[in-house]
Amino acid sequence: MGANAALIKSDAELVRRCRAGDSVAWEQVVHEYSRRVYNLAYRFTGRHESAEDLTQEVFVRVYRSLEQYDAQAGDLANWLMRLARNLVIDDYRRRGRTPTDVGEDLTDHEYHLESHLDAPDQGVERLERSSQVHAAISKLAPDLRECVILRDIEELSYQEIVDILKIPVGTVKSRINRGRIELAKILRRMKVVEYI
Amino acid sequence: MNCGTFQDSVSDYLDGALDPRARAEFGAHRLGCRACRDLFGDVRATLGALGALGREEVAEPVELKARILAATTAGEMLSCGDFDSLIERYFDGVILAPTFQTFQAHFAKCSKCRRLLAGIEEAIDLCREAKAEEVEVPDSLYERIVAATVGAEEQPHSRFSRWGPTLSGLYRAVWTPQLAAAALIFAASGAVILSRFGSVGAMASEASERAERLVNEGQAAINQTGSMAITGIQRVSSGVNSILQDAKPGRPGGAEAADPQPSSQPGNQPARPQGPKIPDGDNRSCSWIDRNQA
Repeated sequence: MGANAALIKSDAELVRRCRAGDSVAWEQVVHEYSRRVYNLAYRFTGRHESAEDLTQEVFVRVYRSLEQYDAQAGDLANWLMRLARNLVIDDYRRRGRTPTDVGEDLTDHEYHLESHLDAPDQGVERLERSSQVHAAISKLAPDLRECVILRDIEELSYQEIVDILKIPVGTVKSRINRGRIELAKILRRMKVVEYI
Repeated sequence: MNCGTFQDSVSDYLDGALDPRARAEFGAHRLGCRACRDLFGDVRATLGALGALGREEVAEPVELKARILAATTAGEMLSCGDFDSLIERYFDGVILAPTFQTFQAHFAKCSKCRRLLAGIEEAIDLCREAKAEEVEVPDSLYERIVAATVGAEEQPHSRFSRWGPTLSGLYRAVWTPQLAAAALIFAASGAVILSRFGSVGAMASEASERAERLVNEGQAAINQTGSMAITGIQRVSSGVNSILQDAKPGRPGGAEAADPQPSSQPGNQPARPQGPKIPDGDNRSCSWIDRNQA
């Protein structure tokens, strides 16, 4: 996105210009939301390459669905992230909820982390901890993993999770509780929780 | 509260969703059970780690934005729904250039929309062909329609239907170029009549008056001619009578002349009656006419 281009602040105007083929407006959307979508995809896939592919797929689908966006019904961020979550979950389920071996990929995580605000030692330690937590999450059963990610990382409400996963709220609560206990046991075995 | 119930209640406890009594039982079990106490501590630490993970964002690869923008080029950016909405404008030729480029790009990339457009073009061609080729109506169709609507007992219509093709042929013949001149003359005659008499009725009325005058004049002429003829006949009749009276005493041929019967003698020409016998006075009847009548 050009540095001189003025930001479009109205979601309705931004979407209207995107639909009219305004490449500057579309670049603004990609610039504002690509990181959030990428992180969401990464949490579910556990691999950077898969997360990139999934993020690209999400934005293609987002653009094709822009005509469905209603500014009166909510802001663009909520609409876009809701659509992204649905697509990521669909992809997650389409892949058979296969747990991803993230061990190798997590070593590349350092390159992408924004650690400039931390002291060098703190940054490395935080990086190590994040990698271990990601690795532990990937060891969870698929049903439990999606509920834990949506609740404790994405911080969605129970009802939002019910809407995305299309399962009863009691099942959601049960899976979240079991997922937390299971993840705690995994982290204990990995000797990670001792350092938190 | 046992260990199983304790583990099932961990999230509700952390969410503050337990009622006071259950919360008290949960606290008591945590104090009394080391394993559950450790587990509870691990779960709280895990939630802290997950929260931290949610707050820290992994930076996306530098090239990702460019890759997304490349994937959402013109053709990709136009959805199939957008393509559908542009099809009518495409056939009307009113798509603006930038939009047309995206339309073309989507057409090149999307096989589904290519098939859709080809199908519409084919349908339009078929409609044009159907419009150009009119199908002849079968002769029996009229009778079928009449039978299906007003019924087959409508004989006058049936008779008309038999004459229908003839009349329609005559109608078409009348409108041939050869008869155009005749139609023109007829129309001109009508125009002359209308300009001179005002209407066909007025023309007929004047013609009737003229005819009546001619009849009256003719009648007068006939009467006059009749009077002259009677006068002439009377003169001839009186002359003949005087001749006959003069010829009666001993004059040869006088009997023959007086004899009304034809002579059978050789050398004599068959004799016509010697003219009508005109009675005296105003009696206009002729004698020979009276004989013939007798």
